[in-house]
Amino acid sequence: MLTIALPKGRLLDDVAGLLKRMGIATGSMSWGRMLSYLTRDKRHRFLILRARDVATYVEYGGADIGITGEDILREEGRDIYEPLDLRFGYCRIVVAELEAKRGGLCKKSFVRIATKYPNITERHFSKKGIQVEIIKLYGSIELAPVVGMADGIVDLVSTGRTLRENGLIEVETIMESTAKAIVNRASMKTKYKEISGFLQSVRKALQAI
Amino acid sequence: MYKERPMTPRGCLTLLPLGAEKKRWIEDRLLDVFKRWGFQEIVTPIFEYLDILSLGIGSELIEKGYKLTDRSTGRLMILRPDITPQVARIAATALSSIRPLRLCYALNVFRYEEEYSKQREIHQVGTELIGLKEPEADAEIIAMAVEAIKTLQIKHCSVVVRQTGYIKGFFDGQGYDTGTVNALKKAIEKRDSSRIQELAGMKAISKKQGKRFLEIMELFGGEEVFKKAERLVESRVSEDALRNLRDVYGFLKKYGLSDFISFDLGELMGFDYHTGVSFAIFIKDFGYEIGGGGRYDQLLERFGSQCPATGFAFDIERVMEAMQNQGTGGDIGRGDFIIIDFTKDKTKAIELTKTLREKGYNVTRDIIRRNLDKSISYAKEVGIKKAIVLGSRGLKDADALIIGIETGQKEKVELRKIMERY
Repeated sequence: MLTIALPKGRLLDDVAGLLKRMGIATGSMSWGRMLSYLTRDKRHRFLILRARDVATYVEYGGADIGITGEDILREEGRDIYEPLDLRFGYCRIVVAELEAKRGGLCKKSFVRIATKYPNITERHFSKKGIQVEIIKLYGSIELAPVVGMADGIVDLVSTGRTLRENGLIEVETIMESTAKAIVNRASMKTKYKEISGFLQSVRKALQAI
Repeated sequence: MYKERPMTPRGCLTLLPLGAEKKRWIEDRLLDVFKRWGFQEIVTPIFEYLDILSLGIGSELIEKGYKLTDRSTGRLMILRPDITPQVARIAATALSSIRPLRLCYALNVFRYEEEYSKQREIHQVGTELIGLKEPEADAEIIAMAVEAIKTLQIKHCSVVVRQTGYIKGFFDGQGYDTGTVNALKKAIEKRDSSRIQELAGMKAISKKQGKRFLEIMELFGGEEVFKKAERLVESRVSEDALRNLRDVYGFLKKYGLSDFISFDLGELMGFDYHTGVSFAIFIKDFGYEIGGGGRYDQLLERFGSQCPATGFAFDIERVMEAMQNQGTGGDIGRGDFIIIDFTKDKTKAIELTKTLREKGYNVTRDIIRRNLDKSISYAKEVGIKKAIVLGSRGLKDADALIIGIETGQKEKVELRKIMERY
């Protein structure tokens, strides 16, 4: 049996569609509330988790395989395999600042950034030789510059609408992100056949799109 | 102002009695196996000069090391983050005249880890075999690792063997720039087939080469992998690596170990000093490797003595966890008897205790005065298996009561018969 960790939230619909195309029976799975689900043939057990926790479950062997966004993988830097880009769930991690103070960020040698992604933020600014003070937030990041708490933000955007609505403007893209299939290092060795079979069928389902 | 702060640093291990017993038991058994294979135990210093040890460890491990200053010279020192470079230093200097050199150790290493759950103090039991480049030496190390696991009664183990030279052979002579090599290595480490295709799409590598790397990443399995691997070979380096791996496998078969071995030619992860054959040990349904090692032919050179070497280490916390998951080793460290005597005189209790101890049992005297139930629950808590009760109400002078602590089963036995039975 393979234990597969799936992310709640924006990726879940696409993941459900993928599983359906793979012919994995998820019929009675009510995605909203269920925490785990065992398929009738008992070949797959699904865990429904916060996207951030997916990589953790996979690294610690709580799940053999996981699906989560690349943004989270780069932020968390986990010791896992990332065999497959699933190509859906596209979004970007960007630096944004207040439109009214446009251009201010890149002139400074020291900035204060609000973000859910402290590691990505730190790496990005350190590469540019800019010192950064990071304010870690868990949501509504866009507000931090509006209330004057930060010079800018680093956050995930897909359309950029939320940014615009809060008077923010993108300064630069740090990375692009799509959903990835990830695998536990030990499972890859001890359940190689099952896992490569699963990945193969994911590949096929992706090609069929 | 009082602040709630942790009493111990994160990631360090306090082992309470039964846990400590288990650790000692595992270490003893592993060292015993190594010694039967002719390996001799050594002890290395817990800290070393950073500039010296840095010769043998990669930058990532140096960064994870805990540093302190030498009070007399002001030189930086590092708490050992890895034993192998220390052994390499010793083998290249104090023991440079003995080849082959077989050493083993049970020591702890220290590595800073950001994460809450990760160990920062790691207990390792390992071996180093220095001065042999022969494939039989690689096989000896792997075979010894498998025997060690069997001694611990851990089931469903598998050893995944690789030869990094094979995959490195595909980088050579391709004229890749450093950026491409790094991107490729990273993609292979992560088994990221999508990234390989992307690199081919960007023309950083050719379509054909992209396809080749994808095929290499699929080279996992038993003996059958060799044939597939052979077909892909396009350089001497890969060819030699593959032949070497075959030779090692030949010896492993002579040890009767083919069932335990699989090959993973697409694996690049590992310590930066590894060359040639290396391996990792996995247990079914256990999320981490419990140990591993491999060849490090260039490490001793960094300490001034060119010499091939190989070795491996077990991570003892993980071994303990794997044993616990499999439900083995539950009895390790448990006491055999507690002797409870309700008479005033205690002569019989002491005689019985003495006799049982002489026979090799470990025996606790319940000196304290308390009722039987309290003694039994005490015995349960400290993990003793049986109680022998003397002089309790309704018990003849010549009799004793044996109580199974777990089962609660009581049995009346003549005192002298106990001496015969155990």
